[in-house]
Amino acid sequence: MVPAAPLVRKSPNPLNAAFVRTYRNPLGFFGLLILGLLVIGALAAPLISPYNPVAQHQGKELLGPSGEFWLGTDELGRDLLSRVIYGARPSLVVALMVVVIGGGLGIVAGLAAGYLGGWVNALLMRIFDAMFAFPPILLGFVIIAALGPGTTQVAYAIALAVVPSLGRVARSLVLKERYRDYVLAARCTGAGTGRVMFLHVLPNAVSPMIVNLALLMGFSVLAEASLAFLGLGTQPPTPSWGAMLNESRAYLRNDPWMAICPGVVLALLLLGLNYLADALREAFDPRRVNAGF
Amino acid sequence: MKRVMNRRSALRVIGITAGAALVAACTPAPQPQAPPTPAGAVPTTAAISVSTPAPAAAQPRRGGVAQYSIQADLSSIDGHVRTPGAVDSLWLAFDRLTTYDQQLQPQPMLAESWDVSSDYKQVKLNLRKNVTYHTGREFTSDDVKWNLLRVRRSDAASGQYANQSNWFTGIDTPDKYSVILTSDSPRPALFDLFENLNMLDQQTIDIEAGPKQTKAIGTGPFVFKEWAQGDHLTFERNPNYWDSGKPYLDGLQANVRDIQAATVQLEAGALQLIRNPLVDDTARLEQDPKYTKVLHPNPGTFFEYGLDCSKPPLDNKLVRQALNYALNRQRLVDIYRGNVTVGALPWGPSSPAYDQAKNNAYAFDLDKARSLLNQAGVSNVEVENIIIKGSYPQQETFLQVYQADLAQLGVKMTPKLVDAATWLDQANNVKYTGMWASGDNYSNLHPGSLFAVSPGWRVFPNNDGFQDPHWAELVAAANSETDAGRQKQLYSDVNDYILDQCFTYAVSNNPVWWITSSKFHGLVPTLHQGFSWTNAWLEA
Amino acid sequence: MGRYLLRRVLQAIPVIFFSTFIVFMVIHLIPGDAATVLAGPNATPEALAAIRKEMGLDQPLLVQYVVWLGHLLQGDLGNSTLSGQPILKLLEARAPATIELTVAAMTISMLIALPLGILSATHVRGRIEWLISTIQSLWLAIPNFWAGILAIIIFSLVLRWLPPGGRVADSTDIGGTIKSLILPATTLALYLAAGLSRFIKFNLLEVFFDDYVRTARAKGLSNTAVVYGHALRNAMLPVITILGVQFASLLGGTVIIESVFSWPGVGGLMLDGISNRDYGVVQAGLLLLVILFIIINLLVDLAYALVDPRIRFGDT
Repeated sequence: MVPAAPLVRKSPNPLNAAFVRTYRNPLGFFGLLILGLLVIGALAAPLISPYNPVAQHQGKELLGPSGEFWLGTDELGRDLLSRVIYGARPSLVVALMVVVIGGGLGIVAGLAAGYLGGWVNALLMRIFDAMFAFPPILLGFVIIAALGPGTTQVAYAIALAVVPSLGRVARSLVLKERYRDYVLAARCTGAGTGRVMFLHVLPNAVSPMIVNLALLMGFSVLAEASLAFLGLGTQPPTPSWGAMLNESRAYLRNDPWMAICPGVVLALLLLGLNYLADALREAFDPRRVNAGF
Repeated sequence: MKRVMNRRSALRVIGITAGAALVAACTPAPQPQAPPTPAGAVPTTAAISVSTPAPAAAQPRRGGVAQYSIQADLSSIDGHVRTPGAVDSLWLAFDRLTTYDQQLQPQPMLAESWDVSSDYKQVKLNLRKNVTYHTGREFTSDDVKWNLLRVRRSDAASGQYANQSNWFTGIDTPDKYSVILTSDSPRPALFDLFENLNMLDQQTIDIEAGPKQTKAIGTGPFVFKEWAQGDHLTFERNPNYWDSGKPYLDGLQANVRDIQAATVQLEAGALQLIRNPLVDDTARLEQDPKYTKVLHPNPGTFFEYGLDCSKPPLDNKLVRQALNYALNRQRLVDIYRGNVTVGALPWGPSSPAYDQAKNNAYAFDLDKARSLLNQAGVSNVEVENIIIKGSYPQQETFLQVYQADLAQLGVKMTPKLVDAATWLDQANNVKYTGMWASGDNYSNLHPGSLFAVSPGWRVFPNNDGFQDPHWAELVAAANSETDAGRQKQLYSDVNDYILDQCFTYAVSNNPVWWITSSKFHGLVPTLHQGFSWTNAWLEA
Repeated sequence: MGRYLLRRVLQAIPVIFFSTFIVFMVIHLIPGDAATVLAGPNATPEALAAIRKEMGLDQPLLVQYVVWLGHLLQGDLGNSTLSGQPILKLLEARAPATIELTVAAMTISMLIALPLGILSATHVRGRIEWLISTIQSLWLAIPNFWAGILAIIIFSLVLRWLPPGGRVADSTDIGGTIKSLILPATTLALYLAAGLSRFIKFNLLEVFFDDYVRTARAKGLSNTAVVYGHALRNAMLPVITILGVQFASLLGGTVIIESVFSWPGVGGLMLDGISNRDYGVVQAGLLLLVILFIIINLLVDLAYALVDPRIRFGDT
């Protein structure tokens, strides 16, 4: 029998190997493909979109799909396909900013709180509590009311709002890992706190967090839509998926097509992210899949 | 909701008197007159349909509680504070001295008759007898005096009425049912004040609390029962109302609802009527025989843009005129599906300043706008336009049309959707950049009233930072000219002036319509933006 | 344990001060104040100043905060700047609605998420898991205001089974109360469940490969016994955290659902409070949420310590 792989993990983060495994995984491939297409579409928007997204075609409002407008038009006669393509930009920018800023801060804070414990943990947890108690959507409302409406302000607001929850989750995952034998072993071999934290605990704890981050991207766009519901966020006439979803609200009963377009791309984004997250998780722990149920 | 936001702070409500209601009240069988369709609407407007209550086809039935929706909660239940939602809810607990018919003729309400001196410097009001407040106390001339004085207090949040109340330097109450008001200058618009000033009960008002009142006692057809802040207001029939036999409804509940939720609730039968649903829903429900659309013919509310005249480049009136020429008002008619009238002047058909020809000024003309900008020698104009989010969905959509048209001129206009408190702070202190957009009212009364009351039009200080002694003269004259012939000339001058200066300009009216269950009848339009519910009734 | 609790209570006090102070400062930074709102659009500058003075809004911010704190310590939450009604009364009216909705939504959510999560984890890489995963993603993509309106249209307009909104709070009409609760709670729950079930699945998968699970299987225990007897308990630790997180965020975060279903909860109250600059309402609402949140956190941490004896009290 082939002996099981050693329990102590190798410290260097086998990122490359992990990504190769992701790519080879059919779900992961599909996820990367969708994500890639959306990102490329956003970048190449001026090249691929048939119309200017803010150009109003008078007399052609609220049309369904046709030869002239492949996805139909909105209430001001603007081409929905062009708006969906351009709409990727602010939505993806917000999602990215939220993941990087919010996710980064949250994970680091959770790591510190979970691993270091003591007063660091107490302080961070109390700060989180204070931030947490304020409902995220209201927090967003307040931040934007103070900063003024706009895409980047929305990103800051959402990022700030998710730090406490990500931090808490990260902390709980770190807590699970903290008392494991391999951590003890690493410390016994003389690794410093930082090294143990970032090279040993983080990669193992982070695996489930990737799921959170992937979902977080999707939630960001939805959060943007929620804030748009309250009149905040990307200002007209700039299209963003969230703003488009919100605009479609008034026409839900009479022209549902306006809501379906951004809704479908959003669903695709979430689908891709979910598959990607699944594949990434598997990739970071290749043996786990084979435990087999 | 909402998330949703405050129409009231931006909409300066102007009274629309219910002349028809009073006429109906004075005749044995209530027969509300068919309100006249506004003449001279700008062409291409679809004919504004008005649902006329079927005269005596069905007899009013006593009973039933009407559940309806308003879009924003009140900010106060003080009857002297004007909020848009209040006119069709809180105001039902109060009466006013007189009420206008659709021809701007005052009709009796709490005042049965009156003598106005020929120079309009004095008016004697003869009050209706045996009118009681909801507490049982009789309404007398002393109450009229108290109300007139109360709105002058600086903590009363009634800036709207203080102005006009201050016209009267002498208030005498020779007996319980007579009030004599004297003024140093002629006040031809005095009934505008009476149309809008609710007669509150001095004994239940906590005078030190300013607008933060917890009771709303009046003499009106409905008794205020409860304010569940943020959710609803409840009213019950006033069993001792002076117009005996009325009101027909047992009670009312005004529910604060997101407009889409309200529409669904109407269709599910939880609400009997809803106010200003979205245009597409309106178009759909109109076709359905289960519902009726009641469009107010002359609400006196209109929509306007104001400009910051204190800083370049908008301090140059040529630039302001150019921006007016870039306004494609016809697109607004499309957006409203015809339920709106557009024009360059704010006046409704009952206003003596109404001028059909001048209303058509500033027809959309980008070339003209361009040449004006060149003449003024400005280019690369960048402005914002602040508007209260959620209050005027169609106007928000229209701002994007305006933005696109202005872009063709090289003018960058960015609509900024803000909440009410932010808007008020920026507009009232002229902190905004370039432009503001808002609802306004009093456009169906005497022009002087609008200019006295509205921060978009009044003499400096105003929301535009606009200063001109000639304007001050015109406003003063508008508020004191009593001769009908000279009035006509005066109003013509006033219209020419505001069309020339463009410090604030009208975009369209602000239509008010209700979609009601077809079992609901009897709403009668007033000239204070809302309807009278005294004659409203529900089929079984 | 007693000392631990005491320490947590003491730690809670600065949290309360900190959060109420920060919020106080931030909402006062937003342009416009309660006097602006109350005075209305036609106010003269004198009227505005008079109202501002009467409300005490012309004092420096720090003074205003201390005044609020002073009242609070006497048990007075103050009055709404708009209506003058006592804020405590407003909260009393709205809090039950929110708690009802939150508890119902979370219960339904767990009932859906737990079996789905377990199913996904035990059939990983199978068709069932793929199906569940896909449906979850699609479901999450639907904004909750959409789902809400659709639900109302289907169940209220078309089928006429349930009311179109509004809350029935009549203790004598349990049927009506439940009926009015179903749509908003379920709409919320489905949304929560989509994320929760994924999280449960991932955590289960994590523990499946732990040694004790291998040991259990090596001992010959059936899959079911392994899952329910061993894996689930350990996987639930982070899940408990997530639940706490969700509960807390729901308390004020149901703003949209409240709007769509006309559900008079604390979220809408606070949103109105912010819009109207009704500072007292926002402060009081926040206070309520902070206290509830601290309690929940405490319970979560206690649950942790109970479930996993390795986590000592000293470290939490």
